[in-house]
This record gives sequence, structure tokens and C-alpha cells, in this order.
Amino acid sequence: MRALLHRRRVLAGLAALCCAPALSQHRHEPRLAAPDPLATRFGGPFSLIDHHGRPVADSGFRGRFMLVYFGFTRCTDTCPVDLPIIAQALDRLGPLAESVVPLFVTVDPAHDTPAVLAPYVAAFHPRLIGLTGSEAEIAAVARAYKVHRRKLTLPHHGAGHYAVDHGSLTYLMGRDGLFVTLLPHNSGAGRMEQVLRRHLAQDIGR
Amino acid sequence: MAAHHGGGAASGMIGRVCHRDMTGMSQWRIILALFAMLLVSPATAQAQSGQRVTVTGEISDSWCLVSGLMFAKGTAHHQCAVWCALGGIPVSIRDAQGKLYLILRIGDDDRSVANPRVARLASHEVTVDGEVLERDGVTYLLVDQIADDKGVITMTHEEYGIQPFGN
Repeated sequence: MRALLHRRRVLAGLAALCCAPALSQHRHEPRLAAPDPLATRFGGPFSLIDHHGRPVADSGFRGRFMLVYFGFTRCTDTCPVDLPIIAQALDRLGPLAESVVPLFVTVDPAHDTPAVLAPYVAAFHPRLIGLTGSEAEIAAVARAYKVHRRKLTLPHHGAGHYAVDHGSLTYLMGRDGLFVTLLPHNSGAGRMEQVLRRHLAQDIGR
Repeated sequence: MAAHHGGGAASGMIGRVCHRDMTGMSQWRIILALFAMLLVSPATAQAQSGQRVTVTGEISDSWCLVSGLMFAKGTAHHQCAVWCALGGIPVSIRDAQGKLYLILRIGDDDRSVANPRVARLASHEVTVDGEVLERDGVTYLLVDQIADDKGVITMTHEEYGIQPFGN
């Protein structure tokens, strides 16, 4: 009898534990939203030179979304995959794409001057903006976006030639310049369009 | 089992005793187990964004994992996984259920998403503690610590060769 009572008490305690979270949701108590660890992890201010040779700063793009991708014009693997995806996603958006500024930030500023960047970005999309700067300026932007970059010189590259390993994430930054979301390498134009539409719609709804 | 299928009186008695005892104990244990599952399942099966998790699985680049190229598993894929990680392809952990967690940080490294430490873990079977974050259908992981690193334990190179060179 005592054992039976003990079991019933234990079961009642366990039941209370199970029900507590569900019940607490019906109390309508104000809950503070947990800080988003990604919100401040990527991005930051920058002052660079565009492919026309004009100085630009991130603050100049306020009021529009920034779609930021890092690469270099002599890239043979990741950039030729991701830049067409960005271009196709913008085309799929139609007039909505006016709210999005696509930015291609070089990780190889020594080679990618405005003159080199201009025909390169134009080959992918007429609205794609190429950005370059001094080594220190590019290093600072890469660090702000947590973009890994490393110059790689291998025998098969030939004299004076090299590759640059670099991060392959595409960053969507909001109208306020703050981080919104990430798109991994080779996300696909359809998926990128879908993600952009969702965030543009949410923004309009605010 | 032997008690239930025994033909003698003694074995029949043992069988009844065992059955009655098993019935009482089993019910009690099953109820406790069900409560335990109710309490634990939200944390393990449905990891919500911002939740702390422990994930066990193989580390590999997400491109090969998603595409299925280069037989993205074990020793066969080790070389390819190192190259992809150093080349900037995001690295993921694939758990036993096949769920991918794309790693955005390991430890206190705050300089880059893809870093040499990630490359050194390519193809390793690891257990990591961290924070899971969901964004637009992708599950990201901020790894706080690598709780266990078993190294490369899945031997696949004899069957699949060394990728991307093949057999």
C-alpha cells in the first residue's frame, strides 16, 4: 500500500513536470525575445571603391537590401557558380529587385582594380556592383563578414599567378545595413529568389 | 522464455511468478520511460533555433554532402573534404539521422567561418556542443566545444578510392 502511494506521488510529480511548460504558455506573461546570435555576427561599415572608380560606403545603400558576395575575378570554381545564381535570382524578382543592391567584394584587391572589375561584373548582371579597395580595407570588410581568404601559390599556377581561397556564403543585409540571412554556396536561383521574396515581403509588411 | 515454454510444474510456477512480477515492474518501467521520453524529446528531436545541442556525426563540406558528389564519407572523401573546407565551402556535421548542421563557428575563432581548424577535422567523427540556429530552412551551428574527436573512423577508400581522383 505504501509502495503504491509512493508510485502515485512520483507519477503525479512527473505529470506536473510534463504539464508545466504547456500551462505556462497560456499565462500570457510578457517574454523577452532572446537575442539573435547571428544578427550581429556578420557585417559592418565599409568604405570602398566601386567598379567605376567612385568611392562608396555601406551607408550609401541604406533603404535597400544589400546582397553581398566575396570573390575574385580570376576565380575558377565558386564565383562562376554563385554569381550567375545571384544574377538569375535578381531577374526572377522583376521590379522587386530594385530594392536589392548586389555587391561583389573582391578578395584580391591587388589584381581586381576598378578597370578589371568593370567588365567582369557586367558579364554577370548590369546591376552587379564590383567593390575593391586597399589591402587593409578589404581585410577589414572580410573580417567583418567572417570571410576566410588565403592566397595560394602552386606550381601549376605558373610564374606570378595565384589563386585565392575564399568564403562562399552570400549575405543578405537589411535596409538598415544589419544582417538578415545567409545563403550557402550554390543555393540555386529559385531558392535565392524565394528567400529574397520572403524577406522583402516581411519588410514591406512592417 | 524458458520458463514460459517449460513443461514441468516447477517451471510453470517460475513462469507465473516471473510473469506477474514482470507485469508489475514492466508497467511501472514503461510509464517512467514514457514520461522520460516526453521530457527529453523536445530537446533532442526538435531542436529549436537558439537551443543548445550536442551533435555527433561526421564533419564534411556541405557541397559534397548535399550534392552526393565524391562519395562524401570517410577516408575516400578525406582529401576532397580538406580541399573544400580550405577553399571556402561551408563545413557541416551530418548526424546519424542525416540532418545537416552548417558550422558557422568553432570555439572562440571569430575571424572566419571556414578556418584551418575546420579543415583539420575533415571526415572526423566528432561530438560537439553548441547552439543551433535556423535561417530560411538551413540549420546552422555555433560550436562552443568539441567534446569528442574520434578521428576518421569510416574506412571507405578501398571501395571508392581517394576522391576526387577515384579508383
